[in-house]
Amino acid sequence: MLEVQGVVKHFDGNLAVSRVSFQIDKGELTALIGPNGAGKTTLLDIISGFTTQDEGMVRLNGADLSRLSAWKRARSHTTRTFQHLRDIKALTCLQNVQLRVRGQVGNSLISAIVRRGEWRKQEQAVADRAQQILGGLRMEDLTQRPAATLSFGQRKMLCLAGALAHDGDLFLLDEPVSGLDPERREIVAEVLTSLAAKGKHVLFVEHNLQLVTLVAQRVLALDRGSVLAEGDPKSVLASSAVIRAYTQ
Amino acid sequence: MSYALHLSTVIAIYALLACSLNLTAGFLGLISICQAAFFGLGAYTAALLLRGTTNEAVFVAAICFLVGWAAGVALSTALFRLREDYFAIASFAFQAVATAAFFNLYPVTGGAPGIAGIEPLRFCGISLASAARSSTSLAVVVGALWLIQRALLRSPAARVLAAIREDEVSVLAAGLDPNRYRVALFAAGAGLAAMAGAFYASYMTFIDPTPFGFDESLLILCCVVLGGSGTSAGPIFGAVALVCLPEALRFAGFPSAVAANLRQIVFGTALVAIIILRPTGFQRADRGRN
Amino acid sequence: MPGLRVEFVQTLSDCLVSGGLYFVIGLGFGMVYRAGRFFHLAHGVVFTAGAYGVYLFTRQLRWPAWAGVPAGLLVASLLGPALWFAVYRPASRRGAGPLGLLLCSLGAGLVIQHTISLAFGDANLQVRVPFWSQTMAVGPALVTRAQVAMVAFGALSFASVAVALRYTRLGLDLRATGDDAGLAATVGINSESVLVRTLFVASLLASTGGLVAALDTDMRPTMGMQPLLLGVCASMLGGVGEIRGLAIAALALGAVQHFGAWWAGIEWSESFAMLVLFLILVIRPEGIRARARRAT
Repeated sequence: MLEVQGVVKHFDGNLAVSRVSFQIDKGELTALIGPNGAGKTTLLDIISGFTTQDEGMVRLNGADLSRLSAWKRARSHTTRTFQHLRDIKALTCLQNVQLRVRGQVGNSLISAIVRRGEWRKQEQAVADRAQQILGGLRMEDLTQRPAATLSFGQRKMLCLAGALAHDGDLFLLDEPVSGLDPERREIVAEVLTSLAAKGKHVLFVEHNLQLVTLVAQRVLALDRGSVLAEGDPKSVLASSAVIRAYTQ
Repeated sequence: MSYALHLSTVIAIYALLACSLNLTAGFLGLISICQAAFFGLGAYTAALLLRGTTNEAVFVAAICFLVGWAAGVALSTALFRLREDYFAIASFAFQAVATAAFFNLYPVTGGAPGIAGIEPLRFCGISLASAARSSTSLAVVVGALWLIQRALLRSPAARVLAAIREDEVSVLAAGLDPNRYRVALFAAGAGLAAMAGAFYASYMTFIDPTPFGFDESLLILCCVVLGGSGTSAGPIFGAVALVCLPEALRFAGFPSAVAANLRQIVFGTALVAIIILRPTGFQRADRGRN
Repeated sequence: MPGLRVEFVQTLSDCLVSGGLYFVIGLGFGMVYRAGRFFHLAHGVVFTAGAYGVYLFTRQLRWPAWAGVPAGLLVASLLGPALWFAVYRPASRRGAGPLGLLLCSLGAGLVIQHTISLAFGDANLQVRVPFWSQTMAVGPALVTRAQVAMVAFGALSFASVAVALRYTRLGLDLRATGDDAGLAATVGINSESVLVRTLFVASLLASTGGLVAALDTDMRPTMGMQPLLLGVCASMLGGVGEIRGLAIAALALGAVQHFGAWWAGIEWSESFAMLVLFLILVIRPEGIRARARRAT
């Protein structure tokens, strides 16, 4: 269960997030919608620890996340994708995905030198898993391609692959289908549904209301930092407050 | 023959220095201009130790490494928040403070005249005073460092380092702390540079503040950049070029002072040329995004 | 205690002289940063080139002062724009970021400084122009005319740059580019042209500073290093690109340097300033009047 309670955040005097509270159960695929500037990405930043809230609390499965820095949260709990694509151009697709697998012995400098036997064994398993994930996203022929040569859509899928490799309890995805062609959108929709089925907490920001209606079990509508409506997709999208916010 | 051995020793010392800087400047793109300050720190520490406390090479080298390491940890922890060009300026300031300390802390460093009559290191009872023995022991150290760097570049950690160079946020999102890597590599580099200082003090038996200043730091940086930053053998080639160039110029008939100036000119030009021609690693963050 | 009072006033006047020098250097450095967003560390050799340029024309080529001085200063002032076309622009076009340009400036500075060494020798050159070396009494302290000139030049630079930034085309364009280069471009401001002209003005300031300094103390190829270091320090302290902050910072640094030297001994003067720079970068890199944002 992800619990967000009374979160408030100011930026330069502007109220970006205003007393937002909600809960997400594991397996409950939740969409976060709202017009631009509503505070959706800020909220994701706060939950994942990239921004510190002024007030309020974030808890995952009872554990208070506020005391953990972003990388510590990522190490144990949160998986995050960003609007601004964060693939590493100097690495190949396969390496990009391998990078994000948690708990690798060979990641630490000292272990890389002295525990070579251990990480060599692990490396094979990591490579296999990365290969599998890329295959699941129909990217098996791109494994050795340097990320610098990919198209936008391919890079976006690569970032999703990285998230699947990271595999935290809580998935925070920022606009996972924006800019993707219909074929890829379908793949992403399947991925989201299967993540929820596996019991992950999934919160994704989206502007594509078609996708939201298709896969989301719950929707949170945000505008100007506050929750306008929450509930199942049909009722939220039909709510007059939400319609007003989008058409203003 | 003895001249060639002397040259090899000097090359080995600078190879060690260049490799030490490569750990951060090469692997992480974290440019600093103070490697000579750590070099000096180690040299003066060794001079003090060798003046009656101990001659044992392993012990002295270890102490100097630790002194350099501590200075590196302190410096990088204080400065890791800075943007890369501000960080370079800060290292520049640290170098200036270190140079002032070397010149002015007369009771410890002997000031401008320096310290003479330094006893050489001994390894298992064998004195390392001669060029042959110094260069051999240094070659072993540099060789080991080369192997370690190669091992690192072939390990999963290499992926992490590439990510830290390009996009710190993605490293954080992967559950890793980029600062741990930065501090560890910077401190290791500082420790190794200090160790080079110990060998230098032992071999030269005399040190003064001249080789530990800003000019030297810049030249060591040039070694790394010109030799190929981020590769395991590149800095070694850079060091060979750095040491051999003025010698070659002297053989060609240029007087010593001219040769020294020409070397700086060549290195300065080469540095600019590399940045213009192969700016990988010094590029704008948004470069190449499609 | 008359002796102490004399020393105090003497130290105070030294502060003003050094402060003037650091202000002049930091001013050019800051303006280039504002226009181009990078650290032009070759600025120190432009200072040196000013002194040697004038030396070349007046002493070696034996031109009369009214011709040699402007000629020397012009040649040195053109170094700034020359560096843009020869070094910074090619690097920038190939994608070099602020760090790459900083390294280029170091490399270029190395080349220029050692070329000066080759051409004029490494040793100190004593340039004594009787008019400027003449000492005068200002209260109980003794200063040379050259030192007075430095302070006057510093004040003049402050006034003229402050006025230029508010009332001239270049000044307004510079401020616009410094605030938001992209936006400035949309209103037709050519930021490259602004940068080139700024480099020229900055180099003019630095080379004049070098000439005045050479009239006061000896000349040598490395003479630009310390003023550059301290000018950069004053820039960082005052906030790179800020003029009033720079003035305060330059005077403060002069004070730290000379009063520190009075207290601990002359050898330590530079170290105190360096320590200040170091601490500023650790604690508050934006300086006392924050302007330039630091990336996380």
